[in-house]
Formats: sequence, C-alpha cells, structure tokens
Amino acid sequence: MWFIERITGWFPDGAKPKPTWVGFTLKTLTSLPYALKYRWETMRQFYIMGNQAIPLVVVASMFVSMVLGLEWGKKLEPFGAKLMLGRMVSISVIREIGPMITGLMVAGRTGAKIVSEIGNMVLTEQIDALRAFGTDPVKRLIVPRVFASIMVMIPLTVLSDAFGIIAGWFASVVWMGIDSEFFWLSMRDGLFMKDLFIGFLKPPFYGFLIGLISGYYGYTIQGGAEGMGRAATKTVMYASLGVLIMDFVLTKIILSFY
Amino acid sequence: MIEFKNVSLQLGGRGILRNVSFRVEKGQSVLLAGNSGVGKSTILKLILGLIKPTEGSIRVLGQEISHLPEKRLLQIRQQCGMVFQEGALFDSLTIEENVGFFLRENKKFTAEQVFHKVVEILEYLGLEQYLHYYPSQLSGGMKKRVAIARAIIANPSILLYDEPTAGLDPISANRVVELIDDLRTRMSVTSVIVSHEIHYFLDVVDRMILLKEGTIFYDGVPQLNLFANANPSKAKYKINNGERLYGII
Repeated sequence: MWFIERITGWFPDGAKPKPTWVGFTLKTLTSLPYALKYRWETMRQFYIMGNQAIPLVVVASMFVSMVLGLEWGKKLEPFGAKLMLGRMVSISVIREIGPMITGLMVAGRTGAKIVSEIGNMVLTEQIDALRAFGTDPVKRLIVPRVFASIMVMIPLTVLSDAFGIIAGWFASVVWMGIDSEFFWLSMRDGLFMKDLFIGFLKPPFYGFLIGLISGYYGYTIQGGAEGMGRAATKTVMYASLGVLIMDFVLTKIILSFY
Repeated sequence: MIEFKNVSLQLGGRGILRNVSFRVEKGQSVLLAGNSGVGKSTILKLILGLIKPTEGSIRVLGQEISHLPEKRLLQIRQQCGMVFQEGALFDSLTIEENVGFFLRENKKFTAEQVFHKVVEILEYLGLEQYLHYYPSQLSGGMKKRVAIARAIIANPSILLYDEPTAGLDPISANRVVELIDDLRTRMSVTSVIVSHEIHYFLDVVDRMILLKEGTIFYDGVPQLNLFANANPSKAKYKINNGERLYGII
C-alpha cells in the first residue's frame, strides 16, 4: 500500500488535494478484500442496487426485445425464415441485448445513486469525519459499492435475459404469427452453453466500471450543488460510454478465442 | 502534544497559511480565532493529517505527521476526537449508530457494550430519547451535541472543535459551550476550538491564537479587543447586557 501511495500521489496534500484516477483505481482494486470485512454494508448495497433496478432493467429489456422480434421477423419473412426467430431473438438477447441493457440501465440508475451519495458525504464533511475517526473511506464506502455493483449484474442480467426472451416470444407469436412451440424449439436448437458463458462474462466487468467511475466522481466532487450536477452528468456519461467500450473490447477478446 | 513549526500551506495556488508556529501543551485549551477564510479550520485538518502542509513540520502526540503514510495517520486520528462545523453526522445512520460508530469500527467491543456506552453518553448530553432518530430529524444544536458525543466516546487525548457554536441560537450555543467546558474539566483533554464567536469561549480557554491573513497575529491570554485589531475593517461591536463586548463579522 505504501508504494501505491507514493507512486500515485493518492493521499491529499497541499498540492494534490484529490486522488488521481489511477491512484483511486489501484487503491480500490487492492482494497476489494475489505468487502468481506464490511459484508453487511456490501449486502445492503447489493440489495438496494438490485432491488431498485429490477423494474427498470426488466421493462427496458422487454421493450428492446419486442422491437428485436418485430425487426428480425420483418427481415426474415421475405426469405421464409421466420421460424428462425426464436434462435435469433434468444441469441441476441443472451449474448448482447440483456447484458448491454442491464449495463446501461445500471450505469444510469446506480451510477447516479453512488455519485450523489458519496458526493453528498464529501460536501457535508462526512468523508473527512470518517477519516478523522481512523476509518478509510475507500474501504468503508467505495469498496462495498463497487463490489455490490459487480455482484448485482449477474442476477439482473438473468432477469433481463429471461424477460427479454419472453417479450421477444410475445412479439413473435402475437404480431409475427409464429407458432409458440416453433419459437421455443428454434431457441433450444440455436442456443449453446457458449452463448450463456459469453452473456454472463461481460456484466461483472460493466459493474466494476460503473462502481469505480461513480465512486471516483463522487469522491472528487467540488463546488456544492453545481459540482454535484457536474459529477452526476460525468458519471452517467462516462459509465454508459464505458459499458459500450467494454462491451466491444470483451466481445473482440472473446471472439478471438471462439 | 501539538506542535506546528513554520507550517505553510498552499491550496490551488493560493497561500492559506504562512509560517505558522505554535505549541499546545497536554490538557491545555486553545481558541483559534480569526476572520472567515483565514485558515482556522484548515489548522484542525492539518492536526488530523487530513491535508498535508506544503512546508514545515507538525507533531501530534509526539509524532511527526506531515509525511506519515495514511495507515499510521489513522492510528493517530483514533486518539483524537473532532467535532465538525456542520456536525458531519452520517445521515444514513441513526443517532445511536453515529455515536457508537468509532467503537464499532475500531475497538473490540460487543454490540451490547457499545449500546450501553452510547446510552450513557447520550444521557449525559440529555439526548437519550433521540437514540433511534436520524440526524435529519434533529435541530442544529442537537446535531452539534451528538457530534460531540461521537467525538468523546473513545476518550480521546485531543478534542478538536470546528465552529461549535456557528449557526446556533444563543441558548443552544451556550449549552454547547457549557458542555465543552464541562468536558475540559472532567476529561482533562487537550482542546483546540476554532471559532470567530470568541465571546463564547473567553472563560473556557487558557489561551487564544488569533490568525490574520494566514499568519499568527496574536498568541496569548484571551482578549476581545485584539479581535478588532485583527479585523479592523469588518469588526463591529455591540454591548451584550452592558457587560461584555463581542465581535460580529
């Protein structure tokens, strides 16, 4: 830890009152085991983040999947390939749409929550109070939130996938005239473990990025209410962009192996 | 116990403190006074190592802290209690959790022991009925007293108060001052009080350090008239019940 402090200039002094991005990331990464020490806070954050994001993630995923069902249906119809809809929808949802929608929704909702919580604590000197009581705020506040946002992504993605596929099925059967059984058979034949693996590999990375970005902008907030607005905007912007870029990078890496 | 030697601090290119030197002995009560923005609260943060000086040396409890790593600083901070200007109570925790925070985090006490200690302190402060309230449900004066309770729960060697009477009505402010005085005599703790409302603390402190433009303007026996000299352009004076003068910024 000592060398990290020295290298990154993490700890505030006259010249550097705020941590650098590199310092903050390293400090958070090396402090991740403290999620175990503060397990109740981690569990509380996990519950809040997960519970409150469910409706948003499910509704967003359902509507995007319905659009997907309709669009694929229209494109496949001229080729007489509408029966492939189950396969197309389920693969798209599980490999891309589910994780992506979950990532973007959590970036907006949870990112804004974390940045406003931490930012408010900085502005009202609660962070200084923590340090004054000999408690490391990164270990006590940032790590449980980052860990919870990593962990919460998998169950949210499962829900997003499940409701997305159901919505895709609904759109295919009701508006595209596909037989319900054909939809499920097509999905069963087209979906492999590899798709599930790819679909569930990405979300924890998104969660880490969202927790880290929002924690950083909250921790380095300056300038009262206006500063809070700036930090929240930056968080949602960079976390959403981060999810999209991370999606591309991970997809490229995964596809180079498979 | 606390020693500043030629301490200077620059933040964002602006000189906050210049060559500040003073020493606070064990058990002494010192008032840090001066105009707003003169660097009084900054000195408290320097004592705790929350910020580091640009130049000079700071010794707290016998240890040079200006270049101490955070881990070692945390150990020093555990022997200090700090009352922040707005209380800085953790708003997601109840009063009981706020006051017991330090013991739960740093000491090996059972939940029951912590609870008894919290109740004991809150009874002393007359706040025991607010145990399960949240900070947002309390008045400004109550928040200050809870902040004091949180600061004293671990019997610190040093107590730091940042504007403990700021924003309080005279009755609440006097209650806080009486409490500070009582703690000083009961616990024989070293106290550093930052305030620009010096009239409240004249009888409570042993010494007054007056800051002006980032330097020490006066260090000695508490005196009201010096405050006017330090702030000649802004200070106005009123007679309080015909007995005492006090400065208003």
